[in-house]
Amino acid sequence: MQNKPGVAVSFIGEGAVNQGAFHESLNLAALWCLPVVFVVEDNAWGISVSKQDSTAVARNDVRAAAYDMPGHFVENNDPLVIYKVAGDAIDRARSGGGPSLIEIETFRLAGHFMGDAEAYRPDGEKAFLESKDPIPAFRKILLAEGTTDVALDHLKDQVEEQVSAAIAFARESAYAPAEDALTQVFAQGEYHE
Amino acid sequence: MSNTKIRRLTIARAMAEAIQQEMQSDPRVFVMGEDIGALGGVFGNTRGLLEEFGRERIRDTPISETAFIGAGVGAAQDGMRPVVELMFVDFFGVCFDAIYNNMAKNNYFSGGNVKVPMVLMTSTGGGYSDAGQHSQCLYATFAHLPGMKVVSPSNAYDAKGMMIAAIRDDSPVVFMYHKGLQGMGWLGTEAAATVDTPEQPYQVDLGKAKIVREGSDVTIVGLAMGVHNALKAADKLAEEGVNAEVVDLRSLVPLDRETVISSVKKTGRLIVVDEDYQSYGVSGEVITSVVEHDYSLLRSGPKRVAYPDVPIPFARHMEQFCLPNADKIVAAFHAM
Repeated sequence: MQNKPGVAVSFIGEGAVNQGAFHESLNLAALWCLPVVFVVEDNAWGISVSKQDSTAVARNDVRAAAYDMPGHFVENNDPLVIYKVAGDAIDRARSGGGPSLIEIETFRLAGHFMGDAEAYRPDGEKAFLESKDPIPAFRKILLAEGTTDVALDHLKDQVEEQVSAAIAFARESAYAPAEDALTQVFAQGEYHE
Repeated sequence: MSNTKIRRLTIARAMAEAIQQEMQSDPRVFVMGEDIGALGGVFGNTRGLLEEFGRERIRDTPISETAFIGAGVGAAQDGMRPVVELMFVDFFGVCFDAIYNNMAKNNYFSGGNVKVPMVLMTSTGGGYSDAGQHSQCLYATFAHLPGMKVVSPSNAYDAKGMMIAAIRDDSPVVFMYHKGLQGMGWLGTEAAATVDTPEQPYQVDLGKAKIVREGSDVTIVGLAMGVHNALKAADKLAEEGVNAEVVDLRSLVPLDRETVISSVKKTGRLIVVDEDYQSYGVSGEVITSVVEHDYSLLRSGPKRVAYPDVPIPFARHMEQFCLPNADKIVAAFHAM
């Protein structure tokens, strides 16, 4: 309605795909030809319940057909394929073609929450998935294409420095006054009792 | 042409006129909901809008309350001023996450940086045998949860001014309109809700109660249909020489506790009328407001005339048995 060039990108886990809100949203986005890209990050686990115990649908990109939009599947967490597929979906949305659905196969390398012992995961699954970690894998690809170790290490140092600075800033900053909990409930900053 | 010409509107027409005038003056305002286009709303409150503004701004939706209320939240956060209809308040069960976690809380979650200037209008109330999934009020369910203003008019003048105020408000507003006051014949309309309503846009402040009848012997507090029952009870009590004051709350959030307290200071007696379920609701909150302020204001124990804590029956005689009415209010006074 505002005729802005923006595209909305909505990220969800494969567990949430079994919620009604997902299906209502895809239907509405397709019906109104909205500039949206739905991205499903499929790590095959909803806390402790596996994808295969949650749905009979092996790959969620096929669900796009139910709402007459394109569905894409990105195997093996591949950043180059994601870049290409996401670009196509954004172009389609921006040019008035409507929404798309992308499912990305990814891997859960840590527990769902702090202190999650992950006793529910099959033996050896995590070790196997760590071998598919896309960050070291992509480093190999970049090196093979001619990027140097020095350049990659420099980039890594830069990112680590940024993250460390952000953590330090957060740790050194004072807490907001506790009474601020009683503000910003409504638009004028007030709350009503 | 006379400036004093009486313009009697139903609440349905007053709401439609308020939305129409705001849409004429503000391109950010648009409407979404089920059957709000060609039909003009099941309860008549969007009549004529599709013809004037077209399908882009008057959007019939699929039966997907989560999706279109969620879309309203997104549009509001992106600079629009959506008016979204939840056809029956009873249907909140399929979409409450979008309402109370997204619409109501995003202002707080963002530290006030993301405002949600959205109106969620929804029909309430029974009395016409539409059974337990189409007849509830659920005032307290919404008013209990932080972050949304909750209002309900008792007449067309207030409905127009409150709808304009709601659309212009930067906070989300739940605008609850009682089906029995809409002026739709098939719902058994309360004639006193159809009142003189000026054509020029005007606002009625949200959060201000109104004394609709002055008296000195007992304060009767209500909202929406409850106000009309209270006024009828006041007429009956007047025949006995009892002078009742009637307070129309108009708004549950913010709640105008001061007006209620001032009235009880004068009368010393308090009856609360509520068509929502009795327990944990409006009546308990209003009575507590007075008692917390100064329990010695009351010369006798407060009374409440509310819907009993049972699902609303389909059978007409059973529903009428359960609903608040003027006779029950009079009886409550006699029991004080």
